[in-house]
Amino acid sequence: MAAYEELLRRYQRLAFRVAYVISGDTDEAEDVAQTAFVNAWLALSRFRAGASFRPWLLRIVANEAKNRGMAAARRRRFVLALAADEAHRPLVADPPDAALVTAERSEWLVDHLNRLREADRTVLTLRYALDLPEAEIAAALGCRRGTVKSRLHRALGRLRAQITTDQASDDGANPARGGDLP
Amino acid sequence: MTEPRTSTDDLEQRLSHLRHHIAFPPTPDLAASVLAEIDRRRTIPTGGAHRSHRWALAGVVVALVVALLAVPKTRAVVTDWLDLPGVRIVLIDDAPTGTMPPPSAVGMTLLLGERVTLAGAAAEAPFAIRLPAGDSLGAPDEVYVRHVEGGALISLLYLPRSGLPEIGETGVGALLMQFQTEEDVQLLLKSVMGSGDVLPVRIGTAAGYWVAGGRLTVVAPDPSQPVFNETDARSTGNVLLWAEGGVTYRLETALDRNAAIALATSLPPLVLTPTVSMNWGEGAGSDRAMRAMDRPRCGVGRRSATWGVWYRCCAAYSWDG
Repeated sequence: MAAYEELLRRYQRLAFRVAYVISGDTDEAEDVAQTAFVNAWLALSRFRAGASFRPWLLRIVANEAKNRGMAAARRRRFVLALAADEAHRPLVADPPDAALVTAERSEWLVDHLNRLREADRTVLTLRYALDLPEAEIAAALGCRRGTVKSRLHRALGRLRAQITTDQASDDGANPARGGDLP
Repeated sequence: MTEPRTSTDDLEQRLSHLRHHIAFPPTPDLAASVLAEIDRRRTIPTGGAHRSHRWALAGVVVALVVALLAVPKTRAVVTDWLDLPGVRIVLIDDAPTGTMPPPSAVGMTLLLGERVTLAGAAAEAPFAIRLPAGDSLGAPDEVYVRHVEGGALISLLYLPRSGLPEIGETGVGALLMQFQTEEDVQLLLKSVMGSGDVLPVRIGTAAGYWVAGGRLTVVAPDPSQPVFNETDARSTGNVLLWAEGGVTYRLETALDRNAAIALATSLPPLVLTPTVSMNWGEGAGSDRAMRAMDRPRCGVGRRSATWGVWYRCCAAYSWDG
């Protein structure tokens, strides 16, 4: 049990965040993560020795989240947000001038992500915000790794297209403005 | 929002940079609650590993539904074909193939929910639990409740006995599930069945389906449980599905059709509500049921002079996602 507790503490943040991305609700994510850890413990006898625990756990988390969300038919929309002071405070790691720009970029990019369809936002969040490898995204989404690749590719394509469209629109409104940020 | 100008070449880099700045809710400390729940479950008598093994297989017989084989190029959701609340049908191209190892041991709570007393189940269920007549099965050996949206999924499990042969090698003689749900709620989530037959039948005044033959492989009635996948378990049980009074019943046994129907009809009479949809008597519900049975969707199935429509089946419970 002590070993499992160690696993639990090691992965509870990951489990909770994945659950949050899928469920879009804090309380639901906590319930999902808790149930997932209980279920994982119950199923430990079937955990294949030598296999990676993370994707196995994430599959449990994701399935629990989807199951609850679908059963309740009240799944909330997951929306990305910057850390509370992110949009207004320079990023610590950046020099002062660049930090202001970076904060602006972050806010702008988050806005674009939130305008994407939810499936795109979810896969991009899992990949970039949670830094999950494709194998773990596949576990979390219940699909093949190849599917993850294609979903990521399409999501990035739509994000690029959206950005391009907005920039073209902005160029039309502000013809004097041009050039990319450095 | 007025956006900074950007090329898209560095988009992935910028997305990666975001990971340090995205706000997630604070992670709660789950350890205490999880460990407490595990301790609580460990105190529930399980009957040992052998019994756990049996319960694992009991889970195998939890899920079922049917889809239509013979249409390898057709894939469509047929939500209402069976007209049984909580049951959804998905056409699949092929049943999973390959060697299916015997199921591994699992805890008893994995698939049927929480073990309770019959009285406890009665308190949880939003409908009256019906027990087969005492001279057939009577009180179950085990009772499980799985909480679902809007109600509870009640599973009555009977061990094999004289006149009630074991289902395959599951250690289970019969599993009678009773649940009430809205049509769109998926209780039986995913299973895959090899070739088999689905036959419209009558259970007393109610209409239902007899699903027999073939190899039933259950993926998992509870998708939070990754332990049952396409190759984890198998069952050769025959299943009777029907609905009465807004309650869907599922009986899996190794009995033949007539014996299973006799067992099902031994349930005490139910005062039917006007909304019962599978009644073959007079009324709109019966018309709907008959229309469903007379309409082999996707053009599959063959007619039987006695029962209307036979289907060769390859089935999958499924849920969106």
